[in-house]
Parts: sequence; C-alpha cells; structure tokens
Amino acid sequence: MAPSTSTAPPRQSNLDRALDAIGNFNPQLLRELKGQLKPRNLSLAIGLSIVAQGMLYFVFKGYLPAIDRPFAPSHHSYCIEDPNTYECTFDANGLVQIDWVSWWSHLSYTLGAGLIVVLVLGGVYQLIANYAKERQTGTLDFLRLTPQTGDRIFLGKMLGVPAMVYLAVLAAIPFHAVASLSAQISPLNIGLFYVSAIEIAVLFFCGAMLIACLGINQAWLGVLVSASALYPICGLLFVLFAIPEEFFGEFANSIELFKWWGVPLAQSRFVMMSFCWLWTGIATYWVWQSLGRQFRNSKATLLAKTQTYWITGQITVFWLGFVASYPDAVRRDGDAILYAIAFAYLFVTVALVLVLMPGRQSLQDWARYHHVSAAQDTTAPGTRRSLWSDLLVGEKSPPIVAIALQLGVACLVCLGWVLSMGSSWNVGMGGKAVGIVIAMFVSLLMLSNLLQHVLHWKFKQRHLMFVVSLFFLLALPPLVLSAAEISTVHAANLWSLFVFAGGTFSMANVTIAGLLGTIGWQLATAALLANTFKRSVQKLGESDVRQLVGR
Amino acid sequence: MPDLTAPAISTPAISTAPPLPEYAIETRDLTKQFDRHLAVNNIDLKISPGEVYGLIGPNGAGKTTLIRMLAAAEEPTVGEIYIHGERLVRDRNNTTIKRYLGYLPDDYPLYEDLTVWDYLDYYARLYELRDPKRTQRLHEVLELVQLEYKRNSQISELSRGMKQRLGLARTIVHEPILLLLDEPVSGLDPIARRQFREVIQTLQEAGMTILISSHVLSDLAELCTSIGIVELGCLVESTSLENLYRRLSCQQIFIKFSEGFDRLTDLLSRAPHVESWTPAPDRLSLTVNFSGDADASAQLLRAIVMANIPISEFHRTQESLEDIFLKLGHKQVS
Repeated sequence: MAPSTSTAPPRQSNLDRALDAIGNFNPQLLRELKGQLKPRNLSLAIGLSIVAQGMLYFVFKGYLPAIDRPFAPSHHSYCIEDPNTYECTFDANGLVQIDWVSWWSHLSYTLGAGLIVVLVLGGVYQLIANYAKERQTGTLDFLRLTPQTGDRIFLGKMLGVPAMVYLAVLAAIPFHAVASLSAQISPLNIGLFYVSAIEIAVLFFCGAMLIACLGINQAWLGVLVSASALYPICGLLFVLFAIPEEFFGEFANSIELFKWWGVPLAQSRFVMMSFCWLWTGIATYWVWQSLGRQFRNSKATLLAKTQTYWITGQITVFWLGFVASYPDAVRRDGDAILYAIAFAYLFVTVALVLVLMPGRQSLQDWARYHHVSAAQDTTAPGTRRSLWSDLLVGEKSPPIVAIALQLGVACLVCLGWVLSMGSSWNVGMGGKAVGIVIAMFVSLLMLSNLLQHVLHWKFKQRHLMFVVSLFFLLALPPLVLSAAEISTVHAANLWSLFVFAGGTFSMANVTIAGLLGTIGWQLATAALLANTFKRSVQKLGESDVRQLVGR
Repeated sequence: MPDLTAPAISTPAISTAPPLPEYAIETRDLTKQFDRHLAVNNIDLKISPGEVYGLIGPNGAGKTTLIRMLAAAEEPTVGEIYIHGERLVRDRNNTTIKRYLGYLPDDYPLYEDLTVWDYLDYYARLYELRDPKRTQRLHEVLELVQLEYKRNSQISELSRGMKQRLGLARTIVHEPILLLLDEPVSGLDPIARRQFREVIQTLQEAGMTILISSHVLSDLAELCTSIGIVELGCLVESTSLENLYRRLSCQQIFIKFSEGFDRLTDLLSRAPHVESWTPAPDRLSLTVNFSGDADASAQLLRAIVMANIPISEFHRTQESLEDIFLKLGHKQVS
C-alpha cells in the first residue's frame, strides 16, 4: 500500500498543469520538453532570434540611400524612380523618395528564407542527433516495447526535440508579418507562405528521422543533404510567391503545362499552392508510413510491397495528369516527354529496390522457412499462402516479382498513353515511341534484377557496389560513346542499344530493328539475372545438412 | 539507509487482466537463426500462470535470445509465441500483450538526464497510466524497490544496484502480469542482490508470473518453482524444481564418530536406502550416499545410536542446483 503521507496530491502550478496535459496528450513530447525547458535555453533561443532580426534590419537599413544629405547617384534600388528618366525622385525638401514597398518585400523574403533555413536545418540536426543518441544508448528499443505507436513517439519527437528552434522562429514571426504587410503582401499570401513553410519542415523532419532510423548518426550529414534539397525547394517556393497576381487567370490557363487532368492549376496562387501541398503531403505520408514500420520492426523493409503498388500508381497518375491534357492538334516527336518519363521511372525503380529489398538475414530466413511461415501467417488453420502471393505481398520475400509487376503495369500505362496520342505523333514516330517505351522498361527490369543481386551479396560494401553498378550501367556508356565522338544522330541505334533511354536522343534516326535489338538483349540479360538471383536465394536457404550433402 | 524490509505491494493488475489461461507463456517450435547459427532451436516452452521459472544454461546457449523474443524485442525466425493465450505477431502493435509484459535485461539503459521520479513518470505515461493512479503507483514502486528517498535525485547519481532496482521499478510500473528478467543480479554486490531477491519474492507473492535467467543458481534455487535448462539453443530440461531435485539430486549423510568403523560399515551395508559410502582417510568419519527421505534418515540415526556407536556429527545434505547443473554437463553453447 502506498503511504498516505507521500500520496497526497501536491499543489500544482499552471505550468505543472499544462505539462501534465501535454504528458497525457503525448508522453514523448513531455519528455522532450522537460529536457529542454530550462531558463538558459529559453533565453538563448529568444535572445539569438532577436539579435539576428536586429542585425538583418540594420543590414537592410544600410542599403537605403542616404536621405539626409545631398544624394549623388542618379539611380538606386530602393528609391522611387521617375518613369521617364529612370532617375531617383526627390520631395519638396530635397530628400530622396524611398520605395519602402520594395525595401520591405526584400526584407520579408530574406527573413522568410532565413526562417525556413533555420527551422528545417536546425530541426533536422537536432532530430538526427537525438534519435541517434537514443539508438546508441539502447533506450529506443524500450520505447518499442511500450504500447505507444510509432506515430505518437515520432510526433512527440518532432514537436519536442526542436522546441528551441520553434521558439526562435516564433520570436521572429511578428517581425516577418510586419515586414510582409509593409511590403503590401496580402494576409492570404502570408498565410500560404507559413503553411508551405510548415509543410516543408514536416517533410524534412520526417525524412531526417527516417535516415536516423536507417542508422545514419552524423547529424551534420543530414544537414548537408537537407541543405542541398532545401535550396531548390525554397527557390520554387519563392518563385511561386514572386509571380505577380496578374499572371494567374486567363493567361496562365492557356499554358498547357499548367493543366493537370484538365484542371487549370494556375487559376490562382491558392490552387497552385494547394497542388504542391497535396503532393508534398502524399510524400510526407509515405515517409511517415516508413517511420511507423521501422519503429515496429527495425529490420523490416521501409515499405510493404502493397504500399509500393500505391506509390507507383500515384506517380503514374501524377505524370499522366500533365500529358493527358495535351491537345491532340499539336503534332510532336514527344522525345522530351519520353525522356522525362524514363528518368522518373528510373528513380522509381532504384527507390523500389532500396525500399523493398529485405536484409540478407531476412532473405535467408524467408528462403529457409517461407514454407513454414506461409502456413503460420495465415489466419485459417490448415491453409498457407502460395509462393506467388508471398512474392507479391510477403514481407520478407525478394521483391523481384513485385517490382517486375509494377514495371509491367507502368509500361502498359505508358503504351496506352502512346497509342492514345494517335495522330499527335509526327509521322512514323508513334511506332518508334512504342518501341522506346518497351525498351525503356526492359532496361529498368534488367537494372532492377542486377541491383537486387548486388544488394543480397554477403559483402560489407554492397551499397557501394550498388552505386558502382548504377554508374557502370547508366553513366559509363554515354560517357564512352561521347568520348569516342559517336553522335546520337549518326549512330542512333548504337546509343539505343547501350544507353538507358538512348532511343529518345534521336527518335528520327533510331530504327525499329535497333529498338528490337535493344529489347532482345536486355530482356535476355534480365531473364538470366532473375534466374541467377533465384538460384542464389535458393542456395542461401539450404539447410546445413543439404549444404554438406551438396559439397 | 532505508529500511531493507520490502513493503507490501498492491496486487498487480490481475483484476484488469483477462481470465487466467492455461499458460502464461507458450511457445511452439520457436527458432531463431543468425546467419548459419541456430541461437534458439525449436523450443516448446510452457509456463503456467504464477510460476517463477528459472532459465539456466552456459553463456551463449540462447537464453537471452529466447527472452528477447518473448519480450517482442527480437523477431523469431520461425515459430509462435502466445502470451496469456494471445499470439504475439511481430508486425502488429501488440498493445495488449505489451501491457502484460515487463522486460528487464541486464544492461537496461536509463535516461541519465532525468530524475528518478521523472523517469518513472515518463514510463508510466507511456503505459497510459493517468493521475491520481499514476502518482500512487509511482510511490508504490519506489517504496517497493526502496528508492523513495532518491526520488528527486538525478539517475546519473545512482549506484549500480540502485539503477538495477530503478530498472525493475520501471519494469513493473504498469503492473504487468508477466516479468521477464534477464540476468537481473549480474554485477551486484551481495547486499544489493539480497534486496533484489526480496523484491522478486514480493512480486511472486503478488501473483506475477516471472521468467528469470541467472547464473547465480543459489538465487534461482531460492526463488523458482520451475527450472529450464538451455543448451545448444534447445530446451533440454523443463520441470518443476521439486521434480528436478527428486530425480537428479543426491542426498548425502555425513557421519563423524570416535570409534567402531567396522561396526558402522556393517550396519550401513544392511541399512535400507544406503547406496554407498566414502570413508575419510582417518577412518573416523564417512559420507553416505542416501536415497531415503527425512524419516528414513531418522531411522538410520536411531539404528546407529542403538548400535552404541559413539557419533559426534550426523547431518543430511542435498546436492544444490549448481551441483545438479554441473553434474548434468550441459556446457554446450548454441
């Protein structure tokens, strides 16, 4: 029994009550906050934020033209110019007239970019460092043994670990809002910016936790990778916000690039942003699913085979939405589109191999015991999953059939689109496009089989070999052909035979025979690799007795 | 120093648990393979509710792997695990089973930056205990492991024994009905070991099922109701402690006397349950291998006294669990 003296509820302060409520909502969040809510950390985060804002303000103030002394230059970025002479204008007192809107907008953009950079990179660093520490000390394994789901643990970490970064960013929001309003940016656009910034941060934070889950302990490496990915994303975001309002509407709707399944994306900034949010949200969702799987079982593949069917489907819907809107009246070669599709599916194939390939131990367990596991995993007694369904949906089975199926379906969709274009192709190009699409997917099948082979080797540097294989297959042939000054125009079939999507480089010159040759040798190699991989997996699963007998 | 007498503890959440199944733990063909190495080989383990089951075996025999699989910390290569009748399926959350289980390995990691109270409070919240029950439970477990006076101390300031007891407090804070303890007293001094043993006994009295692996066989002999021996990844013995002693433990009677060696050996050769004897070189004492019970040994003593043999010592000893284990020769690692 508990002693009556010690169980008397102590008087709680408002802070205690708030922390208790947070702890009931998410215990992990409370644990992270308790580690950080210290006066020193709080004052440091707010203080540094205010100092940085002050420095930025004074740096920008230094860019203003001097208004209290005779103004020498006739032109300046922040003065109101005469529309006829393009020279700075002066008021009745002889003081230069400053273009405050332009000045505030530049300050707002710089501050906005700075906030995203601090938020994302600061958060990524702290999350990877925190997760790596938990994994190294072993405390993470014991979180897995509690009834908490991975969702709640990761949410708590995401909200709590970068708490001081959040505080520093929040402390700068009033200044950013004032700067944006002074720059005559509408409150709606300011809101869109904040929502975008939050979504980008969530995507990067999920990615950071995922790479930490995969065993990367170097937080600086995560920051480096994030910074290189953040640069183009931030650029795109600011381009979207820099587009003048006049662009949206009738003019933008007439551009075919801005139509997706017939929906004009450039009706307004809001619609365009919503489209970006939708796809960023989908990407975040799948990273989150991976995190959940890794939390439940650190040896599991990043995603289940069934989940990748959905992802490949979504990617297909994404690109098909853009090309499906193309008007039939315009005749084209379509080589650029085919090339873009080839590289999109190349990315998908490499990602599928990395995401679905089980560890060597899991593969060995599957090869040795899948006949037993298939019976144990079914709910109906006395039944068991067939080998084919295990290869298509099983957790530990090699992904060779699942990836081949996805590539096959994607190939059929591509062919459907090529054939549906009908008369939109330039004369003679339609048939070649069919050949190029088939050759492209056969190349991907061969690549997938080879990469799976490399990943299941009992070789410590197999991931390095993975990269080397990619280089040899994808980068080396075009480099060699270019070095030998063999042009895509004069030797289109040679490029088609040995270079990935080589047929798209010169569609006019590549021949059907050349494409058939490409399909033939790559299909034969893919089949050979699949057979070798199958035998290798069978060998891996042999019992000790069988191995001894076989010697 | 705090009072070393373990306080009473409220019965674990047996009231909230489902009706008791036939077995608290049941495994079927449980196997774990690491590359070509079979760490656990087709183990069929059955432990009834309320038992204290001791798992013994040489280092590397597969005990820790077996316990980790039972705790859902390791995925079996093949085989099934049932905890209180519910099947443990690795890729699911197993929320109910996780509430049943408390797992304490020998190298339990702690958050050194937290205080004892905050640490337990964090885990109690992870197991969704709400106030006022949570606070009450924290006081209970701190009192049980005799760390109430350290509740506001940083974990980094605790001794190894205290940390081990704190680990146990964390393991039972959510009132599990099945405890899995892997080498819980390794590296502890005799006093800390005794304290730990007392806590386990209290939990046993409260009705918890406990699976404990330890190399300190004298502790297991004191705590356990059943014993399992693991060798080469296989469960080569699984029986009640009583049955193990009955089958495998030899009794010996040590007799010291001042004269009458020949008369005594003559008497022993005719006495029931006497299997053999070994005389000391001075022929003034001998050790008798005896298979009878306490009454039979009393009869033997009476017969010796009646034969007027002047004895100064007569005591019966039984082979310890450690002797039995060594005699069985289960020394193979998996």
